[in-house]
Amino acid sequence: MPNRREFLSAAGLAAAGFAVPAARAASPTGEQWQPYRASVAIDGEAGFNFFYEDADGADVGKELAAARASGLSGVLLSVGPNGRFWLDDAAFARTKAFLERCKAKVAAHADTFLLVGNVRDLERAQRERRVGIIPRFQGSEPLGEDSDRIAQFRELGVRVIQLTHNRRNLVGDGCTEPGNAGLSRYGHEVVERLNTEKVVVDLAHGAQRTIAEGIAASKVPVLISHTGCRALADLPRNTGDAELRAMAERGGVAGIIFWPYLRTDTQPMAIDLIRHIEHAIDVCGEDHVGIGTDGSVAPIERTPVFEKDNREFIKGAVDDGIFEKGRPADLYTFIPDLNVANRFEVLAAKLSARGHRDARIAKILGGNFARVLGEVWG
Amino acid sequence: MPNRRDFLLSAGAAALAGALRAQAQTASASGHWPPYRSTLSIDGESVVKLLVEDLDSSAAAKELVAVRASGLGATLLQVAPAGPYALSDDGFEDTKSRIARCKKAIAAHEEAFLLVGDAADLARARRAHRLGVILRFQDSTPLGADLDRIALFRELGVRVIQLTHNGRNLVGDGLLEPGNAGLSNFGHAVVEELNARKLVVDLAHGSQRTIKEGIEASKAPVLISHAGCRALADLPRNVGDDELRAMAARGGAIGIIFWPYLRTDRQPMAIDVIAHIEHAIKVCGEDHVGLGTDGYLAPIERTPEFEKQNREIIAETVAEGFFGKDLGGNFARVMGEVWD
Repeated sequence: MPNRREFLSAAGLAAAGFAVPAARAASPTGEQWQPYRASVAIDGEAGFNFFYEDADGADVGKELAAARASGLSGVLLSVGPNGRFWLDDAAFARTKAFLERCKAKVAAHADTFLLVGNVRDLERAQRERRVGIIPRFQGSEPLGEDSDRIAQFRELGVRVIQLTHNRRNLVGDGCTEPGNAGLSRYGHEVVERLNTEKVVVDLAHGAQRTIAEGIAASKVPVLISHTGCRALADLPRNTGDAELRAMAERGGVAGIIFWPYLRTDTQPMAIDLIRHIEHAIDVCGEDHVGIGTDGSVAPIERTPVFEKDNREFIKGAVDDGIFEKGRPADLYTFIPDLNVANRFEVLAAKLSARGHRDARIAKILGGNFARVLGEVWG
Repeated sequence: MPNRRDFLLSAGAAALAGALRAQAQTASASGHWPPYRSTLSIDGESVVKLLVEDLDSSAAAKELVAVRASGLGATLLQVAPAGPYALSDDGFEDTKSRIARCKKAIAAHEEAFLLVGDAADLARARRAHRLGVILRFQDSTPLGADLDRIALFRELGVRVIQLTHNGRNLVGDGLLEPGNAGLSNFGHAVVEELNARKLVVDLAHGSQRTIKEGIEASKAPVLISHAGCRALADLPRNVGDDELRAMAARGGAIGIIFWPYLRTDRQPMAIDVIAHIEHAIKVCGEDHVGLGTDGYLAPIERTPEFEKQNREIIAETVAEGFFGKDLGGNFARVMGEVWD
């Protein structure tokens, strides 16, 4: 069974040959928020298609332009494959090759990107108007059964490891597992090693028990890099108030996602995203909320070909249970009124218009993520 | 982390190797039941060292004597690595080479063994007074994340696959996992494929939920090849009455184990095995109870060296949480008093 979720990530899109629409020339548009250029904006999960291609394709120019126009200082970039068939030796080798390619892309476009290993790198990225790339695993599968690989992957640049994708792995359960297993003994060992090696524990995609037990097990703050609030949309991919509260009490941050998990019926728009942000602030406090779009930084060009492919994709995702039946045929995994490169700035302006103070907005945009990364990385 | 269960077997084997070079013990035991020789007896889990390790010729000869003296029609024999590191390519290759080695050893001693592929082979083994060998996995990790390997392993001779060993794998939880996870989505797919390919689902070593959900998921009867009854000894390695009843209602069988899971205090003796058998019969009915010794087919020679190693292993096994603390503590104390 193909995994539609993998399919949809930037990596999946490229790997599966899914037609990836060219990014529109990504000039900043729309509303502006004056303090934006002085803020550290971090996307908890986003991608650039060309990172997942061996040779730079025709759209690289557009993606680079979008990167620069985004105003982002940091992007958590998924470099670890997930799902089935990632537990053998070949997959371990593939993961390392994948990581090396990402680093090579960063080096080849050093005017636009910077590899982030610590908080000083993030600050430098902000100062130099470059996008800091923070390598992240979207599942702990590349560790296999060997927690010693955590140190090895840290050495190679990985700074955040999500424990599970949608499925069960040896560590815990993903959100599509009805069994709702918590952490295994090996899972506890992995969390302990992540803490020791100063790699951030990310609980996005986890089943409820895996999230709850991951929070409890980690001695340092955790991320839930890209998720929504179950209280507003009761879907397995979202996080319940009890877990959000526990995460916040231990200093962590949840990044609000741009996927249609934000509603259970129609297409979520910016106002829905804002509701989830405001709910998360109510539950967690403003120091524990961020943004994790889970999309490409370059805006989606909504050509007729894209619309057709997207409809097929959504149909498949519904068949696979990723989205519930009854959703619109034209459902998008981005927020249509934030489909611009500088979406963080536009969102900031909207939050400001809702009466949120600048200091709070700066935290949501990336200040909170930066704090947790700094605390964990040391 | 070393696998204590494997360690126990290999350490026991090492201890015995020296002993067996000395005078052979006669492998007969007291006690006699006239219908035995015409009965098909099957051990749900035992180790025939000759089939899984290299023995010198005198040790091999002694092993063959024990095999013949056992009067067993067949044994389930584990041929897959269990626990950590079986998911790698090495684990997969290791499994295939263990199977090949076992089949080669069977062929080399075909007067004593017969590889069992179907029920007719079982009957044939009985008639020919050879030991039928039923290849079994003690853990589904050699499948990796690949359902197609089920057909492959069946082709290679495997007939029974236990879903989990003591830890978590991609299918479910073993008994040492406090999380007590049930079957994963992949686990359900594995059970379905085992049914489709006519391999037996074995739920021994499972956590409570994995056993329960495995019974419910399987369309064919399941085995719990070696376990005890929780109602008599409340230990994670044993099976509760609810699961026993559900297993029996769907036609399965449990093999009562000879390990010290049968009591939570002192050394179990034959009367304790019998108590578990009788309890299982009471809960399941006599059609759903068997034996799964989980020991060496040849008797253990209790040399001082064996006793010393056994004491160490028991202490470590207690530390791992397999036994009630009292039992292990008493083991260590009693043996210490006797041998130190």
